[in-house]
Amino acid sequence: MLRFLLIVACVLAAFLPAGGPAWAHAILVDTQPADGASLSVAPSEIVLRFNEPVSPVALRVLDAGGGDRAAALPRSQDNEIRLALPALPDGGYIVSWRVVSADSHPIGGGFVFTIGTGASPGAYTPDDARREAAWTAFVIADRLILYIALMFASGGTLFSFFVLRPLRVEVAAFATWRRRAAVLALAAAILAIGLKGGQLGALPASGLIDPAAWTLGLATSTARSAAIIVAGLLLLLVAARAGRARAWLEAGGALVALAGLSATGHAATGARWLQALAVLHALCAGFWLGAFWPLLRLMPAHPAAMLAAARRFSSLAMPAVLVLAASGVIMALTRLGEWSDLVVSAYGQLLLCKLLFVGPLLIVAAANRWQATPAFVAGRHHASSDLARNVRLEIALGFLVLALTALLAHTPPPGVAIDHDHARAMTGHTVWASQRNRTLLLEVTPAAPGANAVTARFATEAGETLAPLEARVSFARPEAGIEPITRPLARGADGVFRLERIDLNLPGAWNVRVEALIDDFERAAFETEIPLSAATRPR
Amino acid sequence: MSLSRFSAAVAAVLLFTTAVHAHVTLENQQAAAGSTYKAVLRIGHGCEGSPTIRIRVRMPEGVVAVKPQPKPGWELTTTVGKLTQPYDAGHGRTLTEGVTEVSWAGGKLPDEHYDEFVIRMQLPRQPGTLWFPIVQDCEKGVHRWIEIPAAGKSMDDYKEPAARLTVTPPAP
Repeated sequence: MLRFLLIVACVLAAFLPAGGPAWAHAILVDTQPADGASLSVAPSEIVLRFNEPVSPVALRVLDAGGGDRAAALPRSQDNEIRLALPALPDGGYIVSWRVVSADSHPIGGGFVFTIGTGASPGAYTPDDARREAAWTAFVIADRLILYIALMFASGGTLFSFFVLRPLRVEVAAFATWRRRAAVLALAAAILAIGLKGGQLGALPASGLIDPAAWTLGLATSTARSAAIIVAGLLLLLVAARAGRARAWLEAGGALVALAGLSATGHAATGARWLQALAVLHALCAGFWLGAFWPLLRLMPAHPAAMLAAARRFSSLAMPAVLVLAASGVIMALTRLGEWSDLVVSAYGQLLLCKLLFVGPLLIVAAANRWQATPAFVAGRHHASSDLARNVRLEIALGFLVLALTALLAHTPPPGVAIDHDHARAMTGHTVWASQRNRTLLLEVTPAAPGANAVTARFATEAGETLAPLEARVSFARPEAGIEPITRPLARGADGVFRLERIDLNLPGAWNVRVEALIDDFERAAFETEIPLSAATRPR
Repeated sequence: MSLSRFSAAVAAVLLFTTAVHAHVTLENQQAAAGSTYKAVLRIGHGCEGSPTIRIRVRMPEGVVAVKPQPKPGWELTTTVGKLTQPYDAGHGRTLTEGVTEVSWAGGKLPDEHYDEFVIRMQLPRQPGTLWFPIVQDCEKGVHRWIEIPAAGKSMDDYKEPAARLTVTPPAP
């Protein structure tokens, strides 16, 4: 292999002119049809013109259903690549190309055009909205089931590892419970992919057996998160046969599965330290909430073990709860721009509801730590039933907190510290991405297949508005073979960058990259994901 | 060195030299930490045929005692700003300000010609990689050699990478 590389390099070096070309890479000069063209008659061919000779690697013409309409092979002649087209029906098309230039460097890109003047194929209908709302409900319910199953499986495993194992206590029934919960979590995590796809495509109820739902879902961060969770749970399940390393492998699998929760949702698009914080939050929540059930079961069955376990858990839970609360507060603060967001935005209201249950949960926990557990350890009258009652209360409150967390995960936060009134008024999809110490608030309206408008606002992490010299946006779907479709963003007098219209006809999650020239010497690139769903989400 | 490693190294060098000589690069791309370094910026072409009329360089963090070399026919200006870390200039003096940007303007370097622009500086004491972002203004158009490769990417993955200097551990 290495010798082959050497030969290739020598051949390349020999063929390149000594002075070298003025440009290392080829550049696309223009296309027919032009990017964004609205045609009344279907074109008979597609022409790409470059500044130097290139060879085609892939050229695809995708219709609104994602089907490739390129029937022939592209031909290259001089600096041009031509592709003959069959008779195309009216609608929007995406052309994606990838070529190799003379220096063997592959480059690629995409552009769009529409034929006919009819309505955009992905136009919004009330039926779509109803369907999407139904899918969203299932997505949230599935997320809640995943949370609860993971608390039992991963949380229970961590309880065994950190509390029972040092005490040399093993309860066979717990292992059975954990296995069942792990299998349930596994199913919920995988189901989440199909549900997400159904939601994005606003598919009919039969959508789950439609491969389209799964293809759409697989391209989202939900699939990434599910992959991590499934890997962790499989490790947890397989570890049961592992002999000596068993406990360590189980605990490792439990941690991986919990950490996988933060690979999707708001946490996944934030800065690195925010992502780390979300992982920490999930791990501590898993450890703490996951301990309630084993504690409750241990009490009547193994009173002696329970004494030691309660004492040990009480000392471990304290730092876990502190980290849990601190990370939760920090994450909430980064997502709320202003205090008024707590009351005004749906996200803030849900957050307040969550706090309404977190508060009592912490009070009960404190009562356990300083009152019920010492009383129980001291063997006082009624202490056992008091503690059991408290733990039952904790389980009920924990359930409500998890339910609200599942709801929060599917509610867009009010945005970063940029123009809140605007953020609230927006009807499309809003995400914020950060890069080093800068943030981008990106809005795609209506975030449905068809014509979309893009608005980009840049700010420092402190919330001051940034005015880059220039900016551009590109949309890509690597999994569907769509190379980046790049457009410049026009800078308005208000410092906001806009693109009036870009036709993206394929539903599903698009990778979005925004590049901004911060000053003469520095370019910042932000990357995020925007789901284009067949029905827009009315607010 | 085994044969396979040798061939890999040769292949890398060959690919590297053929692919990047269209970029703006430094003549010496390696220097010892803490040493005095003479950066020679090589300008091999204009902007798609248009002549170069201004070269601007931003100094990477940690580079101090920056002294650009004047060039006949070009007006040399520097921007002085706060240094991220103050440095000991000797004789008990600590400097908190220094040159952060250098600009040669007003000249005219045709696309067919080649020229070099020189800056002397003192390199930071820690080894690592320094990137010099360079803006090349032409009569028509501009090249911004300012892209800094992300982790796992190389200069060749970018159209307009910044000039790279590898700072090696100081000689014993």
